[in-house]
Amino acid sequence: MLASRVKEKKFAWGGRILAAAYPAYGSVSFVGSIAGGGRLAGSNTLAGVHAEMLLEGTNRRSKKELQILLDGMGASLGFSATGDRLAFAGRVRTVHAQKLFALVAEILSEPAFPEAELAVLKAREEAHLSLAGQEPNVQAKIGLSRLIFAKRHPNRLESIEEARAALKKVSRKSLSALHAKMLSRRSLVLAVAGDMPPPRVFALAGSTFASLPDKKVILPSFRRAVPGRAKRIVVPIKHKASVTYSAGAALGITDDHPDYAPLLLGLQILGSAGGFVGRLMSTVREKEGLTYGTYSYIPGSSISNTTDGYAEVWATFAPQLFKQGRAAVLREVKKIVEEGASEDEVRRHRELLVARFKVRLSNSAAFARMAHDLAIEGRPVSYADQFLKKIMAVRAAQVHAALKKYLALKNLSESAAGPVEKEDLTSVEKDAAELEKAIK
Amino acid sequence: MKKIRTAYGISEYRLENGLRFLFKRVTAAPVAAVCVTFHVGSRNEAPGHTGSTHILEHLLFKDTEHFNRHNGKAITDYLEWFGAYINATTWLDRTNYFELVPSDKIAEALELEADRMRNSLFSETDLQSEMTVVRNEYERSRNNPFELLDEEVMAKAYTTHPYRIPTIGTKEDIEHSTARKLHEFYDVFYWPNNATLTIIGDVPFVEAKKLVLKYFGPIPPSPHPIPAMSTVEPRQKVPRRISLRKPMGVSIVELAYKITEGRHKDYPALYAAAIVLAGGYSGRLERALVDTGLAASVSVAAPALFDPGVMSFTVHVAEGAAPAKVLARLRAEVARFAKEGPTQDELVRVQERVRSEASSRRDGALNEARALSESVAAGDWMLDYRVEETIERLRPGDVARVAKKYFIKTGETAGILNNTA
Repeated sequence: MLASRVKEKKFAWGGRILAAAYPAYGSVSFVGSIAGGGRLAGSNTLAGVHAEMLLEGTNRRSKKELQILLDGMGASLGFSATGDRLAFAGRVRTVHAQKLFALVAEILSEPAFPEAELAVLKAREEAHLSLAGQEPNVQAKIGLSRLIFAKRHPNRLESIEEARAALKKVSRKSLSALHAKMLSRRSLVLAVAGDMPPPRVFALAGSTFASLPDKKVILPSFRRAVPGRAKRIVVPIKHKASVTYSAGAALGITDDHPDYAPLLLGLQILGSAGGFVGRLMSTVREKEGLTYGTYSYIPGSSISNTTDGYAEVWATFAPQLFKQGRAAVLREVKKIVEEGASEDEVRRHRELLVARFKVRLSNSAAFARMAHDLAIEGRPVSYADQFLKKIMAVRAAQVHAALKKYLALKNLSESAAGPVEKEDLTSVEKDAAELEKAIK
Repeated sequence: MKKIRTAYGISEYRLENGLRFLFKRVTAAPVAAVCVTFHVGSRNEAPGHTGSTHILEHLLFKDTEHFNRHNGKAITDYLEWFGAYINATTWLDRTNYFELVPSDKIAEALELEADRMRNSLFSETDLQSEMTVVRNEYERSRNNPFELLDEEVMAKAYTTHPYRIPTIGTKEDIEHSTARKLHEFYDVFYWPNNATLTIIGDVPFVEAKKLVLKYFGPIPPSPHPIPAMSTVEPRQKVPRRISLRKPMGVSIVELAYKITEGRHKDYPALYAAAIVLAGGYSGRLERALVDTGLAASVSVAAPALFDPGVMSFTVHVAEGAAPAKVLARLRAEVARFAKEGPTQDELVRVQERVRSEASSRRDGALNEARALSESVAAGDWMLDYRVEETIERLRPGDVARVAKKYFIKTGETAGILNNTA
């Protein structure tokens, strides 16, 4: 479905441009990136500040001039850093697309990183870190990533303290050095979807980005995570009104591994992200009323990411329901790992995943995002359709084998943040008797 | 089914039972969005019943006569199995239930929505299991410092009108909800003559019409008039102020001004003023507060509501900056704008920003249906288009006039959340 609508051009200078004609009320959505990100920077904070500083001025234009130019086009444009890319995304009316892409090229070629703007941005980031430090969702996510991934892994997040320390060290010099290291046209991927014919997109992108510098960017290597014994972390935030709970296991595999599709289906059956059909939502929320939401998925590794991801089971609880809720979530994990799922349940979830994929590709931004995410891994856009075929071929026995291999309770690390104490997160094995009782 | 009009590519019809039906065919993707907007929100809640609309929204995902867990057609997952996205939201003026489905599943979506309009069962057991979920949602909202301060500011800005009560309700009222009380609320407001059905997507009109008549046509209109909410907020005579001290990790400042309802002739110019001050990239407050290191971020909200609302500026105070100083600066910038109005260049940028935002809101069938739902709730389904058209014709003097009229001390409520963590 995606492949039939997306046209692609690989330029001799290395850039890969994807374009989909899509009715979008006279606008285009776009997502682009070059290799870089936290891996190249050695710090997610440095990579993040670098990305944000790109809108603070170029050698030709002050921040104010940039802002006025963007507002004059009514455009949205944001830069961000992922584990291994510097990304930009936004939307603009087609009539201004040429001007906006030229501006993106200017920002990439000639960022100024002005000292004064950097000082202000660092103060802003300090405030954002203070807010994040008090946020149970953020702290639980950071905690779990640090239990599972070693230093330098793209999926390991910096603690708030580490981020503060890294922020202090950011200077105009470090930003310029990082930029010089990453700026290369050959890793550019740009996906554009909307009211612009693909040949026009190719002509525009070809003439705009061909003049970027060219070099080979080598990202430092990292070790994949190894499934291991469970660890636990609690971040008490006393005055908060709810607890966020994340349990997860390292996988050490990427989405091209034979176990990936069966495991993805297994986690879909357990905790279908964002919906009600997963076992977790239908029991822990709908039957037992213990949570507002509980899901399971594979973050950091979707069908468009070759970095090894992890299995995550997520829930939010009222403080007084934390122990009971956690036991109920773990009970469901234990049950599916021990018993697997029926062939019929697997079939229904297979069909759901494929249908959901198609339904969600229903606006220009979603099209651009999906095309970009597939392309950054060097994959053809047809990979999405192939992956859906892989999903449709999975059977119950494969799902059960994958769950047993990757989601055993003894491998499940846990992170909780909010009004919760260390002693509330006792060992999963110690709770085995309670879990047994809960299952019966 | 009677055709009322076609405007902006959308056709409006009225069923005999009073249901308004809005239809637009969009063939960009093989999907269709269905949205049922009930003209009831927290604005319609009586004292002692706050949060009822929201709890009712939760209960409408529980069993009905034809969709229930016992016959394998639970509302929560019936459509999801087809790959659909399904959800609902409650706000001040409306409650909306919506789904994005593969277009060949439009019949299933309409059957479900028609059924839960009148056939929800309201068992006490369902309510009890859902109450923990609602409490958890309430508690999660307490974690958000911006939400906390905004609720306090609204509670201070309004003395009489129900906009002073947060949609989620008070903890006490939430705790005292009963299935019987909620069923009574449902029987007052959930009728076709108090709802608007929207279908946008890859469905021919002939088919959509047939299905709408089949599923919604037989539902009778309410046997009573839908009660009108007639409370009028008295004119504010003095500036109001509140101050909180909480360990939230951040300090926040909010400055709210009373404005008009969305349908008022001054609203488009007020919306333009909001963008000049804090919209896009080059807003005046961004310059005055963020670029000077006083704030980590600044935002503005000026929703088009059914009754006179507020325009509120919210500032995440930078580390080390004094909230009182930030408030003073914020107030001074707004006052300066009220005195001078926008420049011609600023207004041209606003017009471009509005065109761009409109295109974004309508990109995708579900986005478009949900945007339309907000206009429906504000009392005119064409409002979004009309505001956009009016802004195209504005001159700087028009914006200056409303700024002078509404950004006044006697319309102001200021709030400060001082972080103690």
